[in-house]
Amino acid sequence: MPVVLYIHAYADYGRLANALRLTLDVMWGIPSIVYGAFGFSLMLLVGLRASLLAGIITVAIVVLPILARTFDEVLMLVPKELRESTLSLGTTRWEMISVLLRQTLPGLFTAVLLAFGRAIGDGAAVLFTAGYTDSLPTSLTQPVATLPLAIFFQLSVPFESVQARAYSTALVLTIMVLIISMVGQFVSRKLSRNVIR
Amino acid sequence: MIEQSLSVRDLNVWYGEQHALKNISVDLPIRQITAIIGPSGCGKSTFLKSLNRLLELNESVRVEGEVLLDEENIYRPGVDVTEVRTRIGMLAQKPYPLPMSIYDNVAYGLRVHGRTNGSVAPAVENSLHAVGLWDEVSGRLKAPATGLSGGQQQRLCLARAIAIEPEILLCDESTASLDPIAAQGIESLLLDLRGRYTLVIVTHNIAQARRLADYVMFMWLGELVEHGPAAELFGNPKLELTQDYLARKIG
Repeated sequence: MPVVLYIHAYADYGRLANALRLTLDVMWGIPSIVYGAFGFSLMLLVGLRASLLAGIITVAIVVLPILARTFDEVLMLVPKELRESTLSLGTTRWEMISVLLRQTLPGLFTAVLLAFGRAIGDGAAVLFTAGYTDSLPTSLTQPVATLPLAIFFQLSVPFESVQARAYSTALVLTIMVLIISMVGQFVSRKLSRNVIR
Repeated sequence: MIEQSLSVRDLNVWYGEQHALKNISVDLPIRQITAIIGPSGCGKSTFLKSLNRLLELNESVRVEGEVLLDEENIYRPGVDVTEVRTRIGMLAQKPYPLPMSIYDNVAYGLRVHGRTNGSVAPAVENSLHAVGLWDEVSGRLKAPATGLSGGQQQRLCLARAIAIEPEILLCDESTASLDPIAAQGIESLLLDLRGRYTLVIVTHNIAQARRLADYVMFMWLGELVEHGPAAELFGNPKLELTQDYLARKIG
């Protein structure tokens, strides 16, 4: 996010900005299993076992381009005149950032939600890195089950009672996404009170 | 001789290969209204934006020549651009309030320039009084500025600009997007401000230029064709091009 803000306050549409956008777009397009494999080899390198921490790091990398590019797009929508008006008050570009942030707050929030949706529903990235367990982790270094992986493993168990749990897990996941979207709508409306259109 | 506020010397501007302003030299009289007229695309706005260095937000713009503010070239390397823009304010074509409350819109500039909270509130009130907005908004200062009408928003932008007490105010077709009554309101405000500020307005409305201007610049295809006191230029234009434009034969 700071990088994106930098682009918009200083670099505008220069070569650096374009290179950065291309990189982020490519990163967005990479399937998450590749990140999973990448995270796995990284784990082996530092001697970390499948754990909550490794999962967090991998998912963060998956989500980073989504967050950055969505926010970037939102900033691109800021009218040129708003920057001009702000700068013509004699503000520095650094001070202008606070105005840009206020204008794009709802968009930034959407970017976070989008990224969150991807993170919570992603199975492949955490397949190797977070591991799987039936119990709750008590520290960052223990394995942890994400909801999609829980569904996957529970469904592949040949007992009906466990399979039933997979469906309830799916329901919980769906309801969580629903609640997040609704809260998102509500907050986004609150935040856009001052936004110039 | 009239006292000058801004002196422009051999100003040339290129957008990439396109030569947008050609050898402009002019002195803008202090605390009077200078109107820049001419057809669309003749470089009026480019000229205006070159006066507070807003032009350099565009890519691939090249500026040559001098703009002297108090004998000092604002394009000299090492000049503090923010100070230039503080002394030379701007009112845009369309009202663009900042994404904050009515009060904060005016207070923002003051806070950025380091005014303490105690002195901000009276300054905000004064500016809003000056644009005749105080009575309309005093009950809802914390409401978002987007809730105001177009004319009110433009007056808010004017209040925001004069709050930081610039010496010069640039207006880029600032009434073009408003309805006739709101436009009239802005016009009479500009006449009020004349005498305290040096005003430079761009307009494609010749009638408006006649009503407001003390000094007129007529531009055509990036060149400054004719300039002089309003009475002279409107009453007795020297060049045929100016005569034809004023008679609406061309442009």
